[in-house]
Amino acid sequence: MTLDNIKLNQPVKVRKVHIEYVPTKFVQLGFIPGALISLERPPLKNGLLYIVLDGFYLAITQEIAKKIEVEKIA
Amino acid sequence: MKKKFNLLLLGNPNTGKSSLFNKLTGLNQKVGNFPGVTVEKKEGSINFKNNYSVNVIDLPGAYSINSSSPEEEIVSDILLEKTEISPDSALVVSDIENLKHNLLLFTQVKDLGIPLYLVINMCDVMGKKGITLDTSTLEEELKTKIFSISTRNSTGIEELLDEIPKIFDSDISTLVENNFIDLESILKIKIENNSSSLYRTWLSHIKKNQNLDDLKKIKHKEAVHRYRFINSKLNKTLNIDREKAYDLRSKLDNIFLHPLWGKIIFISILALIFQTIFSWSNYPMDVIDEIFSYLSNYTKKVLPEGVFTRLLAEGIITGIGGVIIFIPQIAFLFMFISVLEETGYMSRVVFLFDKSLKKYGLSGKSIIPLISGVACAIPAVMSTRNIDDWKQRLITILVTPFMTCSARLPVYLILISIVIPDKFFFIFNYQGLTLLGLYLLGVLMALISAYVLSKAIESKFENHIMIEMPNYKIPVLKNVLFTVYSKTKSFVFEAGKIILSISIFLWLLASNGPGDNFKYAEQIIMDKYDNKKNINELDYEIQSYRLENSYIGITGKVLEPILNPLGYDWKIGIAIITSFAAREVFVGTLATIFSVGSENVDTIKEKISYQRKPNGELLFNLPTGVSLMVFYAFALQCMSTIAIVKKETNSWKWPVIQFTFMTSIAYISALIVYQYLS
Repeated sequence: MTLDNIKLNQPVKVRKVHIEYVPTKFVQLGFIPGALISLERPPLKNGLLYIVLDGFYLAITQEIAKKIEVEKIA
Repeated sequence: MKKKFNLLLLGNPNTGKSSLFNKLTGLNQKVGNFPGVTVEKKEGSINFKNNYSVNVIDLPGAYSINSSSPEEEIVSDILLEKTEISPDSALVVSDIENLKHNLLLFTQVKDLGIPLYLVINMCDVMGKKGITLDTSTLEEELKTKIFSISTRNSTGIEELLDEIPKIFDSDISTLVENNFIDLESILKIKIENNSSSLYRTWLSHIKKNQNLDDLKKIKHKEAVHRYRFINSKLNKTLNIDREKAYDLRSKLDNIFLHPLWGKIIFISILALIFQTIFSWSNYPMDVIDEIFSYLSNYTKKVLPEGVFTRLLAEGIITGIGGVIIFIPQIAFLFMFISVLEETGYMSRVVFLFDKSLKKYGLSGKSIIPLISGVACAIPAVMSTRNIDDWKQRLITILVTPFMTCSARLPVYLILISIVIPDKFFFIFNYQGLTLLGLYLLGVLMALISAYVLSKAIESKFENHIMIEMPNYKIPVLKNVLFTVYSKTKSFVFEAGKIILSISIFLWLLASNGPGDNFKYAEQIIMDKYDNKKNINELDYEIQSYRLENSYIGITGKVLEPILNPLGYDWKIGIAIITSFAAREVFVGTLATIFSVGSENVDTIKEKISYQRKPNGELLFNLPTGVSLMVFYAFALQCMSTIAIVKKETNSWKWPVIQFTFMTSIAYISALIVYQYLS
C-alpha cells in the first residue's frame, strides 16, 4: 500500500520511496525504508496529510504520499 | 589560535538557531542579505578576553548540505569554501525532540572536518516529553562535545560561551564511514587537490559532475547511509517514553485545524492584526508626522532663507519623516508575525490555507502579506520573508501591491464623491458599492496576476510541499522584540536610503524650474491680480503657478499626449507624477494646482469638481473619474514599495518588472474604462 492510505491508530513502516517522483528533501528528512509513520489527524478536505515520521510532525500532500510505499506494522 | 574567527550557526529550521544567535550576540548584530540572493544574513560578534573576537554568522535553516533550496545552497557554498566567508568553526544546533532528523546535517558538517560543537536546544522540555539522553555516551559516539541548552530559559548558554574559545581543540576526524563514495576516483582528486576531507572533495565533485537524476540517487544513498549510522548511535543513547509524554498539541490542533472554527479563529486574528496596522498605528504615525512637520518649519524659521535651507527643510527632513512614519506599521505587523511564528500557529495557518492559495501559485503563508497589504504594502512585502519557497515568495511580493492600501483611500474617496452619485440601489449606496468594488478589484487582480506569474516564472528548486508542524509554545518576549527591532532597523537603513533619495529628487523637480516663469512666479501673479485677491488666495495662486512651471509641471505637460486617451490633462499628469512619493499626495497636488489650501477637503472637492477641459466638458466627469480610480487601483504609484521590493529581492530587476507590468495593466485598464464610458 502507499502512504496516502494510512489510517488513524495504524502506524506503518516505509518500504520504498520512489525517488524519481519524491523531492530529495523528503529523503533527507528521514523518509527512508524502515522509518515509522503514523497519522496524527484525519486528512482535511484540502488533502494534506498530518503525519508523524519517527517523532517528527509534518504535513505532506497526498500526491507525494502516493509515491511512498509503506507496510502495516504487525 | 586566530585572533578573530568565524563561528557558523547551522541547523534545521525551527531548532531555535536564531534565538541562540540573539543570546550569543545580543544587540551586537547586523542584518543583510547573502551576496546575490534574497536570503537573510545575520552577523554578530562576541568579544572575549585576551583581545580576540568571534564573528558569529547565523546561516539559513537547512536540512542537509546537499542543496535542494536556495538556503541550503548558501549553506553548502559557505561550507565548501566557495564564498568569501571562511568556515573556521561551527555550532550545529538541534532540537531535542527532533534529534534524529537534525543529526543528518550534523554528520555531514562533521565529515567536512570543521571544528564544531553540537548544541541540543529545548532541553527544558525533556521531562515533559518523557525524553532521556545519555549525553556523555553520545559525545563519545559522535566524537563531539555536546551542550544541552534551552534558549527559552537561558540554561546552558554561559557554559557554551565559556567553551567557544576552545572549539579549535575539537576532534575533526571523519565520523561516518564513507562507503557511499566512489573511493577510487575521489581519492585521486583529493590527492591532486590536496584537500583535507574526503567528503568535502566528494561533495564538490558530485555537484560539478553529475546529472540531476544521478545526483538525486546519490543524495538518497547518502541519506540512507547516514540515517543508519544515526539510528545505531541513538539506539544506545536516546530514550523516549511516550507514556510519560504530555502536551497540548492534539487538543489545540483540534481547535486551530478545525475546518470551520480554525478559519474563523484565523480570520479573527487577522482582523486584530489589520485593526492594529490600520488604526492603532495612526496615533504614533500622527505624532511622527507632527514632529517632522515641526522640525521642517523650525528649520525654515531659524536658518537663513535659501536653497540649502529649503533642501534641508522640505527635501531631507520631510524625506526622513517619510521613512520613519512607516515604523509603527512595520513594528506592529512583525510583532504579530513573530508571535504567530513563535507559538507554532503559523504552520497551522499554512496547513489550513495552502491548497486554496496554491492554485494561484501562492503559499498558505501568502495570506498574511496579502491581507496586510490592505493597510500598507511596505510591511506586507517585508513579511514575505516567512515564505520558504523562493518562487511563491517572489510572486507574493509582486502581487501584494495590488491590494488596496490605505494610501489609495483618500484618492478613491475624493474621486468617488465627485463622480459617483450619492444615491441608493435598494439599501446600498452607489458610492459605498464603488469603494467595495475597488477593494475587490485589487484582490481579483492580485490573484489573476499571481496565477499568470506562477506560469511565467521558473524555479530551479523543487517545491517541498512539506509543512513542518512544530509544537505549540508560549512566545518569548525577548525574541519577539528582537524580530521587531531587526526588521525595523533593516527597513530604515536599507529601504530608507532609496526612499530618501527619491523624495529629495522629487522635491528638486517640484521646487525648481527653467526660465523666468518659475523664477518670477510671485511677481507675475502679483502683477496679474494687482492686489485683487487676499493674501491666502494669492499664495495659493503663486504655488500653483510655480508647480505648473517647475520641472514636474513641464513633465506633466510632456506626458499629456499619452494621458489624453485616458481623459486626463497635464494637471492630472502632474498629480500622478508627484503621487509617486505617496499616493495620497495626489489630492494635495490637485489642491495646489487648483490654487486651494489643502486643509479643507470640501473646498478641494468643490474646486476640483468645477474644473473643465478646453472643450467645455467637466474635467472630472464619470469616465475620467472611474478611469483614474482604475489607474490607481493597479498602478505601482509608490516609491517606498519599489524601495522595499528592491531590498527584499536584492536586485532592481524585479521592482522594474513589477513597475512595468503594474503600470501597463493600469494604463490599459484605465484606457478601456475611459473609452467605454465616454
